[in-house]
Amino acid sequence: ADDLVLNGDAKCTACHDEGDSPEVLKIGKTRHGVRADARTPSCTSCHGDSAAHMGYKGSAKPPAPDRSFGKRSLTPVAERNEACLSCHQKDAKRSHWEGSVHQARDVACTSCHEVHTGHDKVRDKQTQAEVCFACHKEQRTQVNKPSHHPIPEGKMTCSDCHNAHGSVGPKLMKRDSVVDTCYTCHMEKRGPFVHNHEPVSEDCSNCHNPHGTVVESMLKARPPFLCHQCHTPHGGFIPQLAGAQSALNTSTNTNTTGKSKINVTQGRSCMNCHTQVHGTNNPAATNPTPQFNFR
Amino acid sequence: QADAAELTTPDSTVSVGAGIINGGKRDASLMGQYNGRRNEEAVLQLDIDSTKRDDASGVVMIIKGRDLGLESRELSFAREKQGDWKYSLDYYELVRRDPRTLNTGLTGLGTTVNNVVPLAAGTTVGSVGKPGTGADQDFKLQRIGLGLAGEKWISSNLQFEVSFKNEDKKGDRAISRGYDCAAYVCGGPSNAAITQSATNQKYALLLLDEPVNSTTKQLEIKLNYAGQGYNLSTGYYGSFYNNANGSLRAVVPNLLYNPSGNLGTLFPAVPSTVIAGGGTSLQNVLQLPMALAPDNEAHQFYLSGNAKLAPSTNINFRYAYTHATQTEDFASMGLLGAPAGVSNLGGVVDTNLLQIGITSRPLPKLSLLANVRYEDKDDHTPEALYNVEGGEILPTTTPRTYVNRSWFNYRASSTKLTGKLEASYQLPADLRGTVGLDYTSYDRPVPVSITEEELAGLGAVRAKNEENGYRLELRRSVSETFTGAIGYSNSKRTGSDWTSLSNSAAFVNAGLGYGKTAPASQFIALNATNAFPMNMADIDREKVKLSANWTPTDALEVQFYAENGTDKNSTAASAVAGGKGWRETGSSIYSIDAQYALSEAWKLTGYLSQGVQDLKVNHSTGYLADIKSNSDALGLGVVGSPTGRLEVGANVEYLNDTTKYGIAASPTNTGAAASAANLQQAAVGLPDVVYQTTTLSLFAKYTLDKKSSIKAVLVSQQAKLNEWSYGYNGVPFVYSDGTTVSLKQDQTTNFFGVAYIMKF
Repeated sequence: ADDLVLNGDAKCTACHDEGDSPEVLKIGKTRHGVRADARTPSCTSCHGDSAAHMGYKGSAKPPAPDRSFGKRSLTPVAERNEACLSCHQKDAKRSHWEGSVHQARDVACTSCHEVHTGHDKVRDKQTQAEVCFACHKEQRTQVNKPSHHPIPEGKMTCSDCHNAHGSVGPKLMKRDSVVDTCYTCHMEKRGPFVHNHEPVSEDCSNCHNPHGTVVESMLKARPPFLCHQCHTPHGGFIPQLAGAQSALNTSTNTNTTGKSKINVTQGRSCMNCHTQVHGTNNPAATNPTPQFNFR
Repeated sequence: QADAAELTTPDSTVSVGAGIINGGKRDASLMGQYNGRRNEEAVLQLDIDSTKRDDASGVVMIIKGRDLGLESRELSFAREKQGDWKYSLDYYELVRRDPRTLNTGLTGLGTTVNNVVPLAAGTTVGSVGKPGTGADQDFKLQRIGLGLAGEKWISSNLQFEVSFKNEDKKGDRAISRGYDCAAYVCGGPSNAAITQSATNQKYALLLLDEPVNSTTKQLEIKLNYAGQGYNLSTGYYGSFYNNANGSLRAVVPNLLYNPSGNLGTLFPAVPSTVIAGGGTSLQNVLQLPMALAPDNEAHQFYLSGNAKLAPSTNINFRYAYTHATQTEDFASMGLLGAPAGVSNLGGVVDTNLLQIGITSRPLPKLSLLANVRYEDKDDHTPEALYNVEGGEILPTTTPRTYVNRSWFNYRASSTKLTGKLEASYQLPADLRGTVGLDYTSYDRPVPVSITEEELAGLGAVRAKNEENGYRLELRRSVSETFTGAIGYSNSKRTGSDWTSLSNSAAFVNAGLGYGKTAPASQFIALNATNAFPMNMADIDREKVKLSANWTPTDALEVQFYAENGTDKNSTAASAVAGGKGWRETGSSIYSIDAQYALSEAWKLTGYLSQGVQDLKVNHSTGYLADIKSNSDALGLGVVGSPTGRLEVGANVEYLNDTTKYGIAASPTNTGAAASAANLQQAAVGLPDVVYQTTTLSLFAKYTLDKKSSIKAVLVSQQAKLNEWSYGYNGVPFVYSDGTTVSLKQDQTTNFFGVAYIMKF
């Protein structure tokens, strides 16, 4: 018989042809189906020679191929992954797969990738996140909060920041650290500035949850509560709202200063005055100092 | 029977149609932030996804266009001979529309000079303000990106890769400007304490328009070598930020709103009899230029790779050196007042990163993993006396007197070391056990003397943090159809002694003046309400995870996940006044997912998830906050094919997020009851913040023939955001020029689109 899809596939496609298993032939639509590339596999490259499967003559269900990749596969994950890595380990982007969280937790390549389809969900920006959410449940809820990166809209996806195949950075960050990953799009935060804000250059996730929050700018908590986790000034007040004050506003008795009560609760809160919290390059050596106001 | 050629040939489709967005921009401001469906209008739906392959040569050409009729469009082109060469070009536009609307009298929008025009019925002291009578402004930010990339296999082992990306970002962003007169800056001819009055403004808050016009460029050049049992990559990654705008300045009148809603005069500058050189009026403070982000760049050189040391032992590594600079000229940014002889910061930060990881399987049942990562960030930026603040001359006089003090800029160097050891062993009864040890240390500079540098608004800082933790996990394949895992992790962060930022008499007398170090307990003994920053405090962390996957039949799969964790501040705290600053963070999530195939043609999916986030923060003298967010999410979907030609699907997603702001008045330093005023206000408290969305999506696709089909989509979205940033219960938060900010609380937007899809 002639090969149908892959070089040397005839031993399989003699049975698993378009009538028997049309879905498996869709591998022909993929990069694995580029037969002019001598490196591309045959069925047995991944599924093994499968002599017992091939040689079965009975009428019952034949034994499974040597390596199978479905949800109920009994093939050990490392063995399944070896079928992929035997070729793909040459890819520089996968140099840190060994030892990565996904590798150590027995995530199979086929847990995320579909090989026999022209549309591998995890390689499409619009559908990738739903593959990741199969395990990362908390993030599924977070991306639907009002302050989020445009992941539900399909304009960004998980792999814009994470390398699921392993990385040097924490949390499988695509670049070497959290801040370096964020700087790829938010380079204006890099500085260095005349007045730096130490937690900013340490780790953006000190203050932000990049997967989404109800607070503006993906802040993990609403200022002033966020800021007061570290900072002590402007004390002696309870956060309050215009229209919800136990002592009503008159011309002088409530907002006697600009840094208490509603002015640190509403508007942009602490950032009403401390504007450039990521750091400022204002060199002015005159009062009021740009250092504390980050202006 | 399917056609083999159709099954094995890459798909190419073009989709052309039209869509109608129903619901105005106020109704789509939450759901239409990024999707290009903010305005009530008809839109072109145009998408293309074409992959053409020449089977003889293996050359593939891919063209993809998505949302081409919308403002957030993407278009890409790639051509490659797999395993030999590839080049590609990507173009995209991404618009983010601010969901809020400003009502303001500002002019000069989009420029670096904003003119503040109070919304007032009159221009004299006492004139009544008219919030809401300004012009509505809807801000947006647009990114336009262009990427070029290429790669070539020079030999069967050596690959060359190059990529370049340019992104322009333009638009407007709301930015604040505010100041409360310090006694040594503005206040009047004498330096007696000043207060807000009916005629004089002690403070002002403004909301301005930051014009955004910047460019980022990224260039990466890489050589990859794949040897026998090892891989090496070496390359250069350069990233460049350029901002066309250096500073933002407001032109502010000397009359702005006071809290009663009447125009009042801003306080003048204090004279030189109060502070050396005199102060600056509130009007002038508000008009001082604000620095926008400066140009900067970074150049990274790296070597990374992996190798097989033995049949079951692998190593991977990376070394990277990064040289980052920031040297934009202050004058060109429109910023004056730099120290004498300094024209730019001369910022230089060099970072060395080294990582080595080893994995091994010394026994068939035992896997080992070790990883160490060391990052040294060295800020070489030269020191100069940038900082100034009026320091009160002690002992206090009447009237009080001040003198200007100066000190150097703060340099953000750091060293971070992380290490991980992990062993995983295959136990009897299909159990797999994993034990892990984790270590992190972080070193940062701390001030030695107040004459060198001063950090403000902090109780104390710490030169070093260390965190040690362990992890345990058991996984079991109970049967072919059921797998489960349970994990527990625990870690403790501690650190060096704390460095004092106080020069009060009590601290100085105790030998704990600025720059001196001691354990936290000594700080607490001197000041019961001393707060320690959350990113430096001692922490006890604990987390439990549970997951299970049940696949009883090929048709049904059920997944369960639960997680519960807490981070508690374990730094010494006053037994009487309680701990201040960040106290505790907790999170939990419970989630169940299910998929069921009713038949080959019909499939059901669903999920239900419930999560809680809890944050406790105690302010040093005022309040105790317990902020708890509950997120409930539900998703239900069905897809099916009632006939061979018709596919239909429906999906409903629901999210309800409620944050409760538990606010209580804190006791005094000595543990005495809070003040009556604070107790009274705490009883009023803060209302809940509620965010709810319901999204219904329906689609139907009918195949006309082998080459064409029609697809109809209906998306109906309801969103509700009830929160109080810019107003509560009908009372707006009003800026000092009358600017207000609004967002429609209950929103509904619908989209209906029909497209003709053609295969080619």
